[in-house]
Amino acid sequence: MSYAKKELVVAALLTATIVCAVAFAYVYATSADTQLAAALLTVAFGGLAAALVVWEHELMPRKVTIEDRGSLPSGADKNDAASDEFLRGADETVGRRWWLVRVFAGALGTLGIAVLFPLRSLAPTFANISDLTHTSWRRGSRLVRADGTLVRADDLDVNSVVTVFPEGHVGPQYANDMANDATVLVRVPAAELHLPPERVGWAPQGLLAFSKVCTHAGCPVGLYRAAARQLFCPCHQSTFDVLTGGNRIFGPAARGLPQLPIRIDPDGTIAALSDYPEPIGPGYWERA
Amino acid sequence: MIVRRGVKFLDDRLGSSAFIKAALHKVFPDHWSFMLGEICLYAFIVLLLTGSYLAFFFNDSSAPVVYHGPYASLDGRSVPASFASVMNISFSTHLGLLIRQMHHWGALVFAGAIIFHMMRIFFTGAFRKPREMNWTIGVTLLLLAMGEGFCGYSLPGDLLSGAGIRIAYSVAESIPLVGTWLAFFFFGGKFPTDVTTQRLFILHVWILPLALAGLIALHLGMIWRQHHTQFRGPKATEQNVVGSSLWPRYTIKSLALFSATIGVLALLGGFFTINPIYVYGPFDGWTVASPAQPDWYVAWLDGALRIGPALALHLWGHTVPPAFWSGILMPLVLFTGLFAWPEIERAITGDNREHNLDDMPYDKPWRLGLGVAVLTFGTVIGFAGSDDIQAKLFHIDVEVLMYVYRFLSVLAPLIFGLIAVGIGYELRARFESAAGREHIRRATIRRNTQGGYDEERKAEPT
Repeated sequence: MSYAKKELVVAALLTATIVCAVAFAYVYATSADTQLAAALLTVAFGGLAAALVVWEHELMPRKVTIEDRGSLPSGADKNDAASDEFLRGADETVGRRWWLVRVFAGALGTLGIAVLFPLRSLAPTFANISDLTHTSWRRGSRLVRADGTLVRADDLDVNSVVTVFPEGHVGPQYANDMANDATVLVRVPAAELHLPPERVGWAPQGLLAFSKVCTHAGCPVGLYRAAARQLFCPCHQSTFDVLTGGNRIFGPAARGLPQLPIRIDPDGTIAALSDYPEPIGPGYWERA
Repeated sequence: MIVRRGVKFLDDRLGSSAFIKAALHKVFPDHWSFMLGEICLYAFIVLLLTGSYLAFFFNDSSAPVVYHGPYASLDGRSVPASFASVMNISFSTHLGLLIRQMHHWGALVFAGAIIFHMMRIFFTGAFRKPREMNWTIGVTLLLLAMGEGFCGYSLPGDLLSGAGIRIAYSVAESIPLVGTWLAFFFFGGKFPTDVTTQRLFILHVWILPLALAGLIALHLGMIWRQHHTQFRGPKATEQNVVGSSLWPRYTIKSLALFSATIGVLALLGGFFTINPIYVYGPFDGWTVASPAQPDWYVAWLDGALRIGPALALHLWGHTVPPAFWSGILMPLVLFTGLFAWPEIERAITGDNREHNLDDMPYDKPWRLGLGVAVLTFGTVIGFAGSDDIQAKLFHIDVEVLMYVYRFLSVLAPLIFGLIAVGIGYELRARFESAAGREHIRRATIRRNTQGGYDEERKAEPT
């Protein structure tokens, strides 16, 4: 191809850029169609890139340039001169006054620590490890759905699952509490249960309540495998066995799901017998 | 003429003419692999520009507001203010969705280009003296880029990123001794808090970009001072640089690459949906998106959390929970190794000379093998991060997949690493013998009409 033709190619590519740029502005002002605007931008910038490549590759002399690197090390003399300059200054400053340097270091250190104190405000003033050890569940808290409606034992067939919260702790103002109070209520055939002896009374009529916060990394344990009667965490696949009281049977969690002891009241509503008997959620250092 | 006037103006005030002359003449090697780092730079610039634009519209509050807008299925729903603002960027701002998706794709490309750039540096030994400090800065940049990306995709207050923050919180909490307090300080209390989004926002738009920009400047400044390394070649020596001078050819090539990077990001941003928060829905603390996957450069950590040991250590009334091994210990070991690698290699080889000529990857077969092993490990645990999707796609039990990935995460790096070492030794033997080198230089492989291959050899020089 002759130079003249190559120049025409570059000109055509740059013209495409001009056309697409104008069209992009038009699309922005009118339909603002995402795909159309993206296509125009792609062609505009692509045309520019292609034009530059052709220009550099085809129209300019192919020249290899060689540059001397020079040497990085300056040599012992200059290194010594630099060190001497510093040491002379240090000597003028310090001399035999080393004890003053220690006081100076003490002053800097103290000041450095002191100015870090405002960082304390980043953690809430009421922050306490015990925040992690309890939820809003109390003895007698009735189980309600996220919209506040009471859950009755009759509402759940076998294999039904519903996410429940303590009554009086739902709604936008409790959104943060709800993340930790969230409890999965599930019904299984009572005859299939193999609960530890001390928990036999926690599962009336085959209804069991488990913390919804995964003990591995805190994701809501959002899936229920009805056939296997397993609760399953979609984040990292920790799996918990409902029939044995939330034992961890698979995945990276090291603990079972904490079980909330519940009772069925005479009016058919369900209430907690207490808060969770152990801290819910992932492990942390202070946890036994 | 304007150039001469400008140069004189500057020189009268800064004495800059000698520098300008040297700078314009500065030589950059021509090999394509030296452009990978530039893609990082240009993706970063696109991220700064699109990100600044988005910040004008973003609201960093997680207070509940009612969304009203053209996205009908969420209209009238109570959502975090941050979520509503991102919905408005996506659906009620002209080309907002394009710019938002270009920004997100930009982050994915940025992280990807960093990895490929690092691979080039590692496998060619370009981190050796005098460039060890710049390797350290580069590894730091990778860490910052991952943190910056995580903060960024956690901002919109959607269900997926909510789970991501929850997991990050649990990982922070898992650190022995200080974890609980660290989580309280960083996230502002017990999860979830009202202040997390604004903290991630200031990190994402100011603290981390400032650190990134500063270190990128330092990174480039060191390259400017030390020059690039270069591959062996007819004219290349330890004392020179062979290639294109900054002005004009390298400038034009680099501008073309900049332009192409923007073009590709526009294409990705316009045609390939990324982070559809309107599909995930707004965050609430007791619901979770399924399947749940993070961005790819964090997927390896999520994968490690999935296949990591279900092991909690109980010490004198204290707990080290399982998230610690995968979320803290493994990355800590990996990045310590990365930071220390120039020193480790120096200790192995005892080589403290200055190196401006690059190795070919096969020159140091054990280095090649180690690099391949680490990359294989990262890839395996990265794929483990989407095991639930694969389980669904291929109708395999996710339990089976987890055991497969546990197995592969140990075995695959070993196997691929050893294969790479073998290939390295084989290639090195061929290239090191003068006869082999001459053979390769003179041989041309051509496909013949029968579909086979013929080797043609140029005549021996007389």
